Amino acid sequence: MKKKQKYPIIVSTLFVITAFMCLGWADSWEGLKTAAGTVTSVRAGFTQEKHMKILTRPLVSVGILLFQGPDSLRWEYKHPIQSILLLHNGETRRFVKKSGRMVEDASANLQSMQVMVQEITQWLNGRFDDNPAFTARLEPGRKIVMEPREESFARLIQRIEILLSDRPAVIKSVMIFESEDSFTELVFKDVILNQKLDDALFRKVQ
Amino acid sequence: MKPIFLLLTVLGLCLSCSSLPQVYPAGDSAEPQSGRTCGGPYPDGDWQLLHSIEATLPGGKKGFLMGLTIISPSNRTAQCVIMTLEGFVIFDALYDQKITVKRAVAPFDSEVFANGLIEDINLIFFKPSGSITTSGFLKSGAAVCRYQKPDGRLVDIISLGKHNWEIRQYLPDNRLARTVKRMYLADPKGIADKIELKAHGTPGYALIMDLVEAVPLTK
Repeated sequence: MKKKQKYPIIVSTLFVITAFMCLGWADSWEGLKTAAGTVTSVRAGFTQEKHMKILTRPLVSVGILLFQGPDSLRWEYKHPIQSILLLHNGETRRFVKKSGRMVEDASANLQSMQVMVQEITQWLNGRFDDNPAFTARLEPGRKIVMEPREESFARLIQRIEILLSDRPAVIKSVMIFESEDSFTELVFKDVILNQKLDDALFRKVQ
Repeated sequence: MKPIFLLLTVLGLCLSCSSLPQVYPAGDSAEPQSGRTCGGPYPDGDWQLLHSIEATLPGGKKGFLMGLTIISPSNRTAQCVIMTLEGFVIFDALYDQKITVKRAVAPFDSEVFANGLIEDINLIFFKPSGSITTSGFLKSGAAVCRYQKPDGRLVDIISLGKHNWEIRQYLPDNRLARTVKRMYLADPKGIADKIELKAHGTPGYALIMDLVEAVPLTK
């Protein structure tokens, strides 16, 4: 009987402690950097929806993301087109599956792609306000809104909205607004932090 | 090294200068088959098509992109969106007798690129405008139907059998300008599973378009 009474108290106490641990991690840039500072690696699944006014239904892609601090990234699409984007030591490479084998893609060096990939690694390092090309503000509800400073850049990306998880150092979703008619939504799931990842994952297709 | 380059250039020019293939008239019994060829492999109704595109650029480098095309063959209108594989839009244009570019990111921001792309879409998805000048068979035995477009350029529609088609467009001086190969598994609606486009001449390029998704927009 005593055991039964103790159980809700333990659960409540754990809940309060967890709530206090999470409270405020996304209230300031410093809080974000501190939380990200505890992260050495990220493994997550993602679903990407491309919305455009002309589309009868959004284009849906699924894949996995691997990140290893400070700046190694593996951005892998499993469906509908299999491709892998690797960022390691400042070099971006992309491979696409064609006729059963992975072929290297020369267009990975597109300036727009380089900008986006490097921006993502900055976010995973908790540095949302470091890029001088964007203004960044924290909004209630663990939301970060980034807008380009230059009009020429705003023609490519109007706004980025990042929704942070209640779990410290975890990004829940990203919305990239390219124009009034077009935006991309990325939703992350099954996020695992600080798992040991083989270095080769960021250098080779495997 | 230079003589080899020169030789290859001359060889390339000679190949692209190849003359217009002769069309042999169909006998009475073969007339229906060559006549059917004139209908070509074009889609029925309006469609939203998503392709993965492999582009081979001058120098042999390969680039991969996604192409979203909304076509209305009856109105000869199209909207074309080119995206990176991550979904970032790098080109968006509407074609309705004239081209309206809504978005173009370097290196896709030139007028030459926009005009060339719309011309390729016309060749791939729309039956040639103009009149049929002749139909029959090529030396290889493949059924062919030859159109002359209003600007004088000739287009051959060639049935290779087993759901495979080839479209060839010639310049006014009869040099081969474009070849489009369309391969079908068994789609009766005219939606090809694979399309290969080759732009001949200098600088040439090639596109291999694999169908990812086809959504009918007309009921």
